[in-house]
Amino acid sequence: MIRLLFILAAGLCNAGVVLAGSAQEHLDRMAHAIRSLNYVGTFVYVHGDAMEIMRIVHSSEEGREHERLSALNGEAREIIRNDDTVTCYFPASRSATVSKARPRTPFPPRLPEDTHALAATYEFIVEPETRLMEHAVYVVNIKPRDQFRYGYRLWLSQQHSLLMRSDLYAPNGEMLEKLMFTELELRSTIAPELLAPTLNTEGFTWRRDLNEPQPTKQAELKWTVAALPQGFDLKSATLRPMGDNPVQHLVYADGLASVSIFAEPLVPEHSPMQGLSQMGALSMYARVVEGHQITVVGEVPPATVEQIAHSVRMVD
Amino acid sequence: MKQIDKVSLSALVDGELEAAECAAAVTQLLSDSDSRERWRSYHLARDALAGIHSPLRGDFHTDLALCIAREPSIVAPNNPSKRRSLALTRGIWRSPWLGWAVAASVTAMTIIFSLPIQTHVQPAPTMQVAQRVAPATLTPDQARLSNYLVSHTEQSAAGRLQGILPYSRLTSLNPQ
Repeated sequence: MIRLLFILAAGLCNAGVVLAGSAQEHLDRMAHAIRSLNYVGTFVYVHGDAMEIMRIVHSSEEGREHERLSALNGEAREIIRNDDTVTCYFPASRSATVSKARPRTPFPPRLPEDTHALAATYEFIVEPETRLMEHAVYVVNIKPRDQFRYGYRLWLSQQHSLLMRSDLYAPNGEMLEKLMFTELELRSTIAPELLAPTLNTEGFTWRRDLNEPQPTKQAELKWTVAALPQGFDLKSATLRPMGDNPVQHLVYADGLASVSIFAEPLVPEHSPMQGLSQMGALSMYARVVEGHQITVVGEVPPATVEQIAHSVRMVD
Repeated sequence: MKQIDKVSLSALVDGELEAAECAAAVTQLLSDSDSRERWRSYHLARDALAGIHSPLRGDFHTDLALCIAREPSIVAPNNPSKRRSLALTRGIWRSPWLGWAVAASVTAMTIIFSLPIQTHVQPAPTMQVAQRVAPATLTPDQARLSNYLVSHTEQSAAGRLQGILPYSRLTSLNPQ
């Protein structure tokens, strides 16, 4: 029998019992719970034809998050996050990357205009309360209103608002990703050794990008998108050090999904990339524009990255 | 008997072991309760996603028979027509978890399991699976794509809805 343990320990009571509310309130509580609670869990992640079994250990102390995410099947991949520093270990290629993550959205950040904009592109439905693995849950269904974004169905525990299961589906209803916890244990504290990397990294090739990406001012932007799908706005523009060349990184988001555009000058040692690639919810489209490699990546349908990639223009 | 290591157990579940390795792994499962518990949890996890109430209980022999009987119904459909890849990204995305591989592994277990279970078997070569993976170096283009995906994930994870999904997607990379 699958176990789902909610061990109420000292210090967790302030998580409180969530009362029924709007979809937006549920999502905000979920975001807060994921970041602020201490927990250890095992979940299954299915995307396309692939299945991953993963272990997550998460700790939050005085606003600082620490997390270890490790794959239990296949290669022993591991991702360690210490606040804004993320280290990814890929044993198959004997490589590891260390980089700075963008701070997570603070809670509660929601502005009325955000909600209004989201409602234009998604329909939010709180389904009748039900049970999942013997726990009462709210189910929030977020249905896309057009073909440019995916839908989400989220099962949130009523007691702590933690995400217990999520489905991601295409506008035509096709299931693309499933994530479901099979074990989840809340703890008052997390022992530091549970958050430490477990892999032997001898012989690993390390790539460290610890320099903060440099923000690019709007007036200095060299790239623009002529046919952006409704609801997507520019959220950030940075110049990121990657290898020998700085790469322009633009991020567009519709409030739930995000799309990155990477632009860098083509150099002789780089093979030009062209075309579409897809894995589960992630779509990628690459083409060459004005002597630059343009690569569009996002958790959106292929049509979205394709349209964006084909409408990227260099600003005169 | 020492515990079966995670890599071998995972390979067993994923149908990636050779017949001899599979035999050794099953022998270890028979002799070590912790390994059996982990084996159960792997199968339970799959059952959970398939929406199947798992009959896996305390008896390993019954468990195995039930698991084999039910296996075809919990295998994710292989739908290669939905997967389009740039040549350069073929080595980046992890290989699909193919249904036939799982079925093959369970079939192998069936055959081996039908042998007398008291037979003494040489210590299992559990580390061979891990050692079989040859270190690989990223090509410049693959490294570039990995950089893009990591950078995008960092941005995506900052969103309020995404939670743990972006980093889960990142572990699905297979830059070899």
